[in-house]
Parts: sequence; C-alpha cells; structure tokens
Amino acid sequence: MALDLGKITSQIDEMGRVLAERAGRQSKTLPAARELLHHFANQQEELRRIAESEPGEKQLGCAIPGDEALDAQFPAPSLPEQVTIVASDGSQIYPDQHGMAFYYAINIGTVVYRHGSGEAPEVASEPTLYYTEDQVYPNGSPVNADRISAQRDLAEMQELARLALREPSAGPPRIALGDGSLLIWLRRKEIPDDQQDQILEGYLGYLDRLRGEDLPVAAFVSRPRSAEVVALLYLAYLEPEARQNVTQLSDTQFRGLADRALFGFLKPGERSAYFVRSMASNRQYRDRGHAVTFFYLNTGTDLARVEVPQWVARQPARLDLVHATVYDQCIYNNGYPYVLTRADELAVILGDEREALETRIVQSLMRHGLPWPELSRKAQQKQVARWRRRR
Amino acid sequence: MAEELVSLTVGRIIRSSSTRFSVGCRALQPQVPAFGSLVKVPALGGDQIYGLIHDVRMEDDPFVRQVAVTEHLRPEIIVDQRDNRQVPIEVSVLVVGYRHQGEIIQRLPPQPPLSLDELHTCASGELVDFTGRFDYFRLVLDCRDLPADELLAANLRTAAEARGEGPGRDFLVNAGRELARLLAMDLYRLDAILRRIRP
Repeated sequence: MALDLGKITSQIDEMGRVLAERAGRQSKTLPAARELLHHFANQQEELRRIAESEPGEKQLGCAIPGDEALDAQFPAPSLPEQVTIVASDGSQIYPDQHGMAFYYAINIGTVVYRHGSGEAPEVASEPTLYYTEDQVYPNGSPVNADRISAQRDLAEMQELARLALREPSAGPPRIALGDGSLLIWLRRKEIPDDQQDQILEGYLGYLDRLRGEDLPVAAFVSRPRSAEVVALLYLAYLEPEARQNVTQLSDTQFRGLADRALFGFLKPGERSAYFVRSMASNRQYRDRGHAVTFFYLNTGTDLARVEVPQWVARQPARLDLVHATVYDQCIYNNGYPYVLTRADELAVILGDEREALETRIVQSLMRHGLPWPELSRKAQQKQVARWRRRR
Repeated sequence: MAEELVSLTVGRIIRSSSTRFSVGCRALQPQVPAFGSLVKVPALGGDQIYGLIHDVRMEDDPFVRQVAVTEHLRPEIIVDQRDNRQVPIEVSVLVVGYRHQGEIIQRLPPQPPLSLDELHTCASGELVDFTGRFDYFRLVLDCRDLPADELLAANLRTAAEARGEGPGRDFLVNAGRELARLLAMDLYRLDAILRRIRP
C-alpha cells in the first residue's frame, strides 16, 4: 500500500478537530451575519455603493444587491403546464504526453426535456477529437488542461444555445440550463490573452443570441462555497474609515462562513433575493449586458446557487420561470436537476470507453502505415509497477 | 386463432453454453418475446439452434432505484429511463434442439452459439414445425433449477394457438399423452402440468 494510513492517522485526527472547530465558529458568527442581513435588507442603494467601492470590488469580491430586499424569501412559483428545458454538460480526455498519441477529446451531453408532453426527452452526446498541430500545440506549446476546460465550457454553451434556439419561440416557454457557473473560468496565466479573448468572445456571443430571443439561460451550482453576500454584509457593518484596511474575509470574524449557511433559513422551494456577482470576475460580462446574477434556492435537500444573466433577473416572469423549473427538476432528483444528471451521464467518458477509443486510434495509426505506437517508458514502467494493485 | 407470429430480431448473444444462452437487448420493446416463446440463433455450418425463453431480467442501477421510490414521478422521467437510458435487459434461453441440413433435431446441439449472434423469434410456421415432435420435453422437464413445468406449459399453449382451435386442441391432447408417459412415476407433477395446458 502506497498510502501509509498509520503515518497519516494523527493528521486525520487533527483534520477532524479543525473542521469541528470551524463548524463551531460558524455557529457563533452565523446569527450575527443573519442579523446584518435583516438590518441592511432594504438599504440596497447604500450597499451597492459599498460593493462597487475599491475594497468591495477588489479586496473582498462582494456581491452587489439587486432590487429585492436582501432577506426576502420567494416561494416557488407555479410551473407552466408545458416547458421545454434544454440542458448540457461536458467532459474531456486531457492529453497525455506519455500516452500512445498526443490528442484530447471533448464530449458534450445534451438533453431536450419537454415537461408536460409525456414524451421521452431527446438525448445526445457529441464527441470531438483534437489532434492537429494547431490544436495540440497552439502557439508552439503543448495544450494545457485550463485551455481544454475553457474550450469545453464554450462547447457546452454552444450546444445549449443551438438546441434551445432550435425550439420554436411560439411553442412552450424555453429555458437553457447548464451545470456550474455562468462565469467561464479562465486562469489568466495559463491561457494566452488572444485565446482567452477568443473563447470569451464566443461564449458571450451565444449569450447574445439567447438574449436576442429573450430565452432565459441559467446555471446550477451545487454546494456553493462562495461568500460574496457575507463579504458585503461584513464590509457594510464596518465603519467607512475601517473598510480600506480589510484585505480578505479570512482575516475577519466571518472567516469560513459561506453564503450557503447565511441563507439556510430558506424553506424548500424558496429562493433568496437575487444579487449580482462580484464585479472583479463579472466585468466583461457586464460590459456586454450579461452581468451574472445569482440567487440561492432550497432544492428540498440542499441549498444551491442558481445563476442567470441580469437581463433574466430583471424580468420577474423570466426569473419565476427559472425558479419554478429548476426547483421542479430538483424535486424528483434528490435536490439536483434531473436534466443535468442526465446530461452528465451522457457526457462522461468512462475508463473502458477511453480504452476502446485508444484501441481504435492505434488501429487507425497502423492502418495508415505508422509503427505500433508505444507508451512512454515512464508510462510503461508505471503500468508494470501498478499491475498488482490494479487487480 | 391467435395473431400470426412473425420472426423478429430480439438481441445478440452475450453468454452461451451447450444447454443455455443469454441475449442482451436495450429496452423492453414489444418484440421481446414472452416466457416460453420458441426462439432461434444461427449456429456453425448453417445450422440453427432452438431454445425456449425461460427468463427476462431487467438489470437495475442506483439511478433507477432512486427514481423508482420518488413520489408523483413525471411521465417524461419514466419514458426517459425506459427508452433512453441503456438499462440492459437480459433474455435467458434454454436450448431444446437445432436444425441441421433442414432437419429439426430435438437434442442438444454439438456446439453452442457464438457471442454477438442475433436471436430471432420463430414465426408460427416454424413453431408448428418444431413442436410437431415432443422429444424436447425431456430437455425441459430435466431442468430442476428452472420453472420447467410452467415453461413447458407456456410453450405448449403458444404452439396450440399457432395451430388454430381444432388442431390446437388435438395438439394439446397428444402433448398431454406424451407427458403422461414421461411423468408416469410423478403423478403430482403430471397433474400440475396438465392443469396448465387443459384446453
């Protein structure tokens, strides 16, 4: 056994103690944070000013209030008799420089679920293989995992928009639902600027098209860990002159307290007020009119974050449609949208599927006259050494 | 007379031996034949192997189990699980004979079917042909780990229906006589089967 559990026992014990201490600390700070939420509930204008100040935006990454009372609880609206829900999710095979060939793959699973129709949803998966010089060595360097993840996010949105916009606008109301955040994750250092701009431009282009048809798009974040509302409340609580001195939430008494705990008072089906996500990560979206907003939703068994662009949040009928649809999807699927479970199932590339793909790749290489491709010596030796543990 | 049986493809062999084999198919479609149906698969040398379906089993997974206990389930979810998800259905078949150079032989075949061979149902004419003799009864009755009496009775009822009312009745009477001969030392069992095929 490579992992010596005997040697790690004391660390495990210490971990339990630290996590219990954190939970205890949260139970003490939570009432104070909730008190602040109620206290500032109707001071949206003042809080917006604080959130958009330098410490609010750059140091703490505060959420920006919308136009609803901060502590509001909105019960689930009734769901229309018919709604078309389009969902997508993606998975990937990252390139392996020790593998038989240097390539990567992205697989997008999609579901078109027609609530109220009694019909089986339309399901599909769309795999794409990337292997050309330009694809695997962009700018001369091997493609990295961040670039592929961003490309996968873009492909998920592409399929989501394509399928949602294909549905007739004169038919039942439509909603496009993705997994994770609407804020596409781009780690600046790992992806060259021109590629980041290209990916973001493509992504925002799909949001433009959805907005063009007033087709609500939403993203579902299960077990969110962000504390953007907590940060806002903390900053509002401080005297104005003290706000400049706060550098991060972990230095404060609200350390470790997440929004998810703050909104734990929501009852099943209820959503919180909507907030705009912190501006630092949201600026390019806002500049194109797609500022990402979010609300918390009690799905029945969990407190999730649902993100929508501001043009959806500002239309009560559209926001109600998202709220009712996402909650209904969760009721029947253990607190997580059914369509997203299915999209993930259609997207995920399992180990044996990857093996089958690689067998076909090897056959193709040999058919075209290449010698039998080999794993690198490192990969070969790893397989040899790990053989007994794999049995 | 019952609806005419036509030959349909059921699925492909996933496991086989000389006495039994199993077929995998994606979803329970109307063409998945019923318990006791006569089916056939190709064998080496142009032969065909015949068998009776003795079990149809639907595999489950944690997702299906979770959905199954959900209250007020949406119909779209039910059809999604049934039609779209690849919940495997396994059809198990007991070998009862084979066709060699056009002749039906009611004994175990010399070789089992190969994996991924296609299983087909038998049309009415072929069912009538195969059940024209009763030598396969012993192969069924000897399977003590299967509901052999129910299996044979179900097969005989289908074969009688395929013959039409008058000939079907004569067929069941003759089958009953053969069973009386084979089960002369086990009258309780004989009685149980005869009750199941009584015209």
